[in-house]
Amino acid sequence: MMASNVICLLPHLDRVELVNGGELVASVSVPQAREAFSSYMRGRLAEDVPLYVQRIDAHCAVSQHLAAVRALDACYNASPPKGAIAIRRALAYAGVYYHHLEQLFFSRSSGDGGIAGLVRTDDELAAHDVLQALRRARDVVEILGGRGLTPERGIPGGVTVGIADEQLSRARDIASDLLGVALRSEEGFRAGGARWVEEQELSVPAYSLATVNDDGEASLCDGMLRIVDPKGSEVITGDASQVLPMMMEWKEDAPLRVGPLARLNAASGASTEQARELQKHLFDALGTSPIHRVAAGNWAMVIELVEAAELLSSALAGLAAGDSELHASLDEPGEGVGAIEGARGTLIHRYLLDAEGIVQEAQIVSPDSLMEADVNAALSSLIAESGPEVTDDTIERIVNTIGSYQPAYVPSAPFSLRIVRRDADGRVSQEWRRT
Amino acid sequence: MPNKKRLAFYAGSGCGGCSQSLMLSPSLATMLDGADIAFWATRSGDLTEDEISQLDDKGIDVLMFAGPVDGEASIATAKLLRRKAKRVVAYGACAHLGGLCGLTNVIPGAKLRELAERNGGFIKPLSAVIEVDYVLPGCPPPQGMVERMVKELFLADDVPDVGTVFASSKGVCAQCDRKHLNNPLEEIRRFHAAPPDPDICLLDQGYICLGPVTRGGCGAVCLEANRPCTGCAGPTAGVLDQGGAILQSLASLVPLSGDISGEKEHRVLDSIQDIVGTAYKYSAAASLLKRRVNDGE
Amino acid sequence: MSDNKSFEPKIIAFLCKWTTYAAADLCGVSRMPYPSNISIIKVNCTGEVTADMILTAFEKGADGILIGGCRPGHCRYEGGNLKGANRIYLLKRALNEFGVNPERIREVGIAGAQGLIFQRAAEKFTADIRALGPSPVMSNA
Ligand code: SF4
Ligand code: SF4
Repeated sequence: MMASNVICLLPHLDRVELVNGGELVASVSVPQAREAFSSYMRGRLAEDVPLYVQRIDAHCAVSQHLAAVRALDACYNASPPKGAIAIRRALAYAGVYYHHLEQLFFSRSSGDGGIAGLVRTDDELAAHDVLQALRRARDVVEILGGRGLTPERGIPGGVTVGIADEQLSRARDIASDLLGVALRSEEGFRAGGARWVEEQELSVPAYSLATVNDDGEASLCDGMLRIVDPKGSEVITGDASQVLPMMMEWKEDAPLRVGPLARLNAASGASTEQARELQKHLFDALGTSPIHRVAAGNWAMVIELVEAAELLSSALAGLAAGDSELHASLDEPGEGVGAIEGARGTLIHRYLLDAEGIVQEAQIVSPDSLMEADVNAALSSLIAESGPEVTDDTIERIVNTIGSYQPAYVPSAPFSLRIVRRDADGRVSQEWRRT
Repeated sequence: MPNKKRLAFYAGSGCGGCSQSLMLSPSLATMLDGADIAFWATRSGDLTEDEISQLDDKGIDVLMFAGPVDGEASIATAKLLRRKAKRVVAYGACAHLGGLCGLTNVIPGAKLRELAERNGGFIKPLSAVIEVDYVLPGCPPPQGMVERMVKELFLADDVPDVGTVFASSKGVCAQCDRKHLNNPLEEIRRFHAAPPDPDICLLDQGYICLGPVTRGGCGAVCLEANRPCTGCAGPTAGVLDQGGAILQSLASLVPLSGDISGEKEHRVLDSIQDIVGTAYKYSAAASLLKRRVNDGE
Repeated sequence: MSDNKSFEPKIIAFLCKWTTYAAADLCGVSRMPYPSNISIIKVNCTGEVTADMILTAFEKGADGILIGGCRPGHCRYEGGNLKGANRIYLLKRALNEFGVNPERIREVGIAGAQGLIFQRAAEKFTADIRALGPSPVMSNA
């Protein structure tokens, strides 16, 4: 599995290794294969880009697809018609739903290996229901995106084609079921996971980056990018090309955070009714915003599951079948930056196209690379607390901490982890593994 | 119910789509009921060489192998896994054809190739490294094909013939219900101007579609989304080189001008851009040429 | 890569049975030997030489591929040779992308009676391929 800025090109580059020099220090290094990505994409047709990037990581294929599509809009200076934007948004919400459900139940539970053990069951929500919901979320992605795990409806300037009537009504039916599962999941989480979150005290003050809508509420698709400082004051709000330079040369005294927890902190609140209500429980339990408790990201994610389902329902309700204006005319190709608020966090793509619409340069700024400093800060304080002895408990906490960020490099569950202690010469003197 | 089968899933690398496509199978529960799981590894770190070594030789009935193979380490793992399994399925485009990763084999003078070389090798389809018994095509495998594999491999009493590809023996065109106009190919079109007419064969409209040379069974879903088939299921039965086959079809669609210099024809053929990314999107590593070479450049 | 005197190129020739093949045949019977580097495969028409055949030849170690049909306008199969030429044209573009020198493929159109012309063309192509050196394709394994 690749970290997000490498297409599955360099299978051996991904490592999660906690290393030290003499002392035990934790660090996660995200493979930075920027050049590799760019040379992979060079010479490719612009309209194919959304097909390539979604295979970087199938768990958030929708986000990658849409980020590429939005960057390509910018490359061609195109403003997609309303109908196309509406389809893309609905697709984005379906993608976030799929991702969050998959993360919560299949990637993140502390199963004992093997797929059967990954499904966390309880009386309220049988594993069967969740798997069924995941399948149906995939079906909605297929209806909206054209292909189940790897959508392809997005093209520069719009979408390829509209959605047939009967498909649309099928998607609407599914969406209301998905909301039901989301609400039950949230309840189930509050009954169990919430207490666990409260017990996890690890807290890392960070800047938060998220996409917000016109009302300053969290967006799970497009909008303005906003960064707030650890106290919650706004640092910058702008479009991707305005915010990108600051992100790339991060000089602040605390790391930058993206993802559910950052969305909680950077926005004024969820953009849907029920999700906003549910956020109150979280704030009641953990204090007022901003919240820097790493484990709270899990809680925020469950609430976003509800939010995504609500957004999906209303987006689908607003879609008109038979809308034929789904594609804008394109200008001469050039350079463009586009962002999407992806399931895992803000995701930014940049492309430079030649006059023929062929890729010359390509760059992805993924949640993984953005969060690297944040994850490492969390691990450092965790290791500092645990002392020199690496116990099963330490390993479990490391796993949970990394997991709380939902990075792309640990998509499987329970993910494997290697912690090594190195002596002064860099030789491995002790090693712990968790697979 | 036949005896419990011992099955295993291994994805050393790849995007994770393959394991999800299996997990989402509606027959998953039935499949798991009738089987023991030897392991379910979705990344190389999940399973060490040691752990694999300790398994009984031929102790696994069916191993599904997803993701591409490249350097020595992954080849060694594939060989070791082969010893442990009675039957091996190349699961998904990466294992089947090298997949999108295979394009790195062909990138000119790229840093990537140096990196690949340092990593110990170029992308290879699984069948270049070990014997493969079955193929489940697709990137990731479409649901219908996954179902067929699950039924034939895990739910049936007898095993399918070695060499079975869990897809149609016909091309994608057979499942595509677009109208045919049998237009000559006079101009290559791309999505720049406008998306194609959703009811007419893409090739008739000048858009490159790999449908004629690609194994069907996917339901031509991409065509339904008004995207061309990009060839994820690999070549149709009997075709060795998928990219060569589509280039051949395209060439034959270009009308002969009668001018023996071929100038007019060449103009059409020259306008096909990104030949490798278009004709060999998933199959560069499985092509007859396999990778870019240095022919006295 | 060139300058390889001891290198004996392997050349596969796909020859149309009505024309170039007949010319090659004539060389044989008229004691006009053409280089033994050339192995001939008889085809009905060069339009029948598929991408798979050409690429397989390279994969199996051919250093050069000679495609001999009729002269333009003389095809028995309504322009099969010209269709074949379009195919070769596009395949050469692909070969180039794979780093293979497109000069390793040569097309000729020789009438059945022109044994001498075939002999010269065969010699010239063999010499040119010898100069190019061995095809790197095989080292792919
Ligand atoms: S070429 Fe493509 S569009 Fe045409 S029939 Fe085949 S699959 Fe359909
Ligand atoms: S239409 Fe082609 S690219 Fe699309 S799923 Fe089918 S085989 Fe794959």
